Amino acid sequence: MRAILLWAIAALAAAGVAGHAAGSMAMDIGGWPKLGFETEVNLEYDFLKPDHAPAGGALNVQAENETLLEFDDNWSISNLLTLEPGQNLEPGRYGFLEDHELFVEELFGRWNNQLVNVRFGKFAQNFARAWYLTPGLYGQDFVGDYAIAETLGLDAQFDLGFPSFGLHQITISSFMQDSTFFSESLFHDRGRLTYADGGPGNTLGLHSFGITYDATNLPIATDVEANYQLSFVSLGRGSDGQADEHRFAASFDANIPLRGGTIAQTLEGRFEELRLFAEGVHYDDADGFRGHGRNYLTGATEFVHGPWVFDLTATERWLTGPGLHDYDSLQSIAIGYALPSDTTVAIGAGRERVAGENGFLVGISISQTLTICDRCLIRGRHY
Amino acid sequence: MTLEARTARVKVGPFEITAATYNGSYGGPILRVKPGDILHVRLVNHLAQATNIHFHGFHVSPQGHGDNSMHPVMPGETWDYVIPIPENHPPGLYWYHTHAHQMAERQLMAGLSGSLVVEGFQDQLPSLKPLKERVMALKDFQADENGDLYRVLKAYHRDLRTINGQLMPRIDIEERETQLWRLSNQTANTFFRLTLEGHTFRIVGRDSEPVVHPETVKELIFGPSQRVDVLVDGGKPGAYKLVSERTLTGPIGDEFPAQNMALLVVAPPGGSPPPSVASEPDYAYKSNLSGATIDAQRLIVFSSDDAAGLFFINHRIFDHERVDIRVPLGNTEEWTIRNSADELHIFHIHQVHFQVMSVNGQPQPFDGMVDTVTVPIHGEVKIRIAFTDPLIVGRFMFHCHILEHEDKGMMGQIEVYDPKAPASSQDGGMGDMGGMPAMSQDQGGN
Repeated sequence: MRAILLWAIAALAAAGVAGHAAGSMAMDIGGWPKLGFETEVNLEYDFLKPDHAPAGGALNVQAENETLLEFDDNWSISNLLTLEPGQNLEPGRYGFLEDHELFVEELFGRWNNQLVNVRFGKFAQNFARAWYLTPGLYGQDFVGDYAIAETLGLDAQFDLGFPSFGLHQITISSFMQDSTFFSESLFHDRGRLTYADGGPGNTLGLHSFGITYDATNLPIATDVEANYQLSFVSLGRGSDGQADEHRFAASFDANIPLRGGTIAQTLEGRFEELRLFAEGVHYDDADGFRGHGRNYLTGATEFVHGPWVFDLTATERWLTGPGLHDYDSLQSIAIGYALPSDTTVAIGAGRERVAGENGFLVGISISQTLTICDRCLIRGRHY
Repeated sequence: MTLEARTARVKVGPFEITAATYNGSYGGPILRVKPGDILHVRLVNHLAQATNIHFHGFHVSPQGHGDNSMHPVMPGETWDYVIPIPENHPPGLYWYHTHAHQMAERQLMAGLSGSLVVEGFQDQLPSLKPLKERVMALKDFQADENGDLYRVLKAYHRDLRTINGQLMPRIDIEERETQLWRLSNQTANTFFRLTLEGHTFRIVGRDSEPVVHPETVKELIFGPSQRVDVLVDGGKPGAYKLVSERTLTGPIGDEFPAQNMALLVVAPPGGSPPPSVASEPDYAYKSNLSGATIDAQRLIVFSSDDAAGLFFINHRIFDHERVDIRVPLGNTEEWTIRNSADELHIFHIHQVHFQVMSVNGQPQPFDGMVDTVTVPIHGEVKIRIAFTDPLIVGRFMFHCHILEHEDKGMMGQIEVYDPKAPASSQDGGMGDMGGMPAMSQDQGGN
């Protein structure tokens, strides 16, 4: 299966290159290369009150810097540099930034034409969407589990054409967990991932693969558009596993404008929209153990009223298999306001039940996006 | 006329900016022609990058030295645009501007545009003939402390929104005088909501042609590239601000803060009664496309990929070697323009005007022909286009006229071909863009 997938990616890429070569008479009018450079900084204070443990608060900084270097319409390199709190660290033992990790989350080349988009290098897999679409301060707390990030490999996204009912794409990929020096981090050094660390997808070659079908901008009613995704990945057995892990995901979302259908209303900022999102994810042979299952079910509603955003989310997570009875849940609410300066201020609250323990979360966050360059010309004058 | 495109330090109010100008004028020279004239513009490119000129709204040939937006004029080159203007060309307010793909936003914002008047609009509306005419080019420029254009445009940057290159100009009028203001939105991305303290606007024309149903509004809304002809009646003596109100283009769109645009100074009446127009002018079009036989229907979908920063038409970015739509000369077509994004888009097609039939399913009464239309968020606009003028045979563009979107891909190419011409002169190798096949049919118009 993996061999077939690699051949398919290669064939798609070759078809794309051939198409590009056939149309490579384009006149270069001096607009390349171009640079994009954007940083998003998020400052968040969270206060956790477990039912049976002392309460505590923590201030976290998260920053993401995205750099995009485009050589022409077809070739580009992307880099995503991330600073975030280290995982599983004991609170209070570290100084400022010492408990944070700075690492290369993505670094890949991209080649695309009108039919196919090929990535190669380190990037996150196109599997499921809740881990980046679920809104609110805590909406992604559980679903972040199944983001398949920091993988090395290649994928190809093929446009299946544009019949008048939306856009339909299929992505196929082959990958492995990154165990190069790019898996290390600065400030708090999390160390290099090794094969001996185990875990699904942590293999000695491209032994994991995925296939995802995306349908977007489906006009399902007047003014209403929907998107859905069906996805499957097989994560190769790690050094500590008994079997490959298989994950399945299905998600659906819709945007429903409630007011602001006229140009005047939009321009005045009197725009209201309801966004609905639902996703289910199932693991077979979870964590590489035969017979173990893991399940997630997420629902989210977002109401946009001009610069105001109101979010409600709920996620259920449960395990299945011999002796496994864990059932976790999360409900959260958040209110955000977007300022013209690309600053978003949000407050949120959440109630979590994890391994039988309840906890209550409240927090406030300030996010700032700084776009230094948006497809700037590297050489020459602005005009 | 020779237009020399070059960078220049120009004064805008108290500020000095590094602009890209035609002949050193940030506001741009106003060109005036008559139907039957030959417009000859020699473009000399002194810029460090390619540029060209599109004659926006003109019903003329897109080929050769005509309104050929496909041809880049490279640095140091000279190009002659020689455009015979048909005797039956609609009079009105047009404009000319750079159409250098991927660089148009910055070049236009820097100043590379100007107003273009085809004389005769007032002949169609004779009651306007005695009125004072003011042609106003509205532009904006976001400058840093050195007067250079910001690399990234933001709502909180210093935005210099100008009229004919002037910051907050004074406009004089007499009490009870009516003036014809002919405004063109020559910004790259900005929508205007104009208000005039103590006054209203009477709209008599849009996109160069008279409207069928003049209306009086307190707020004048027009988007990038759109033109509007309005009557303004001088109120009580005093000073009144013309204000560009704050606008937002949607949840993922842009925000433009409010700004004072001009000061209207109303003087007491002089000796003789000033020219005025009390009633709305009438204009009757000889025909429209409401009852036309439709030869084909097409779907145009605007969408974007926020992560990649790309903008699509039917999920394709522009490729100047790909013909997206081929239309036989003589077709009258109905196009559905769908906006799949969480921000406004504004559809424009070169060489032809069209009739707006419906917006979000609501039928629109015929109100004149236009060359641009704003498409509501997640909405649809149906338009009808007559590809019947042999002059327009050739390849030209259709696109979103928010130039950031156009530069980042939201543009397509159409070829109108003469089915009676020899096959050797036809480019039969170019198929339609996927998803936009013509669905031939004979259906009566509604």
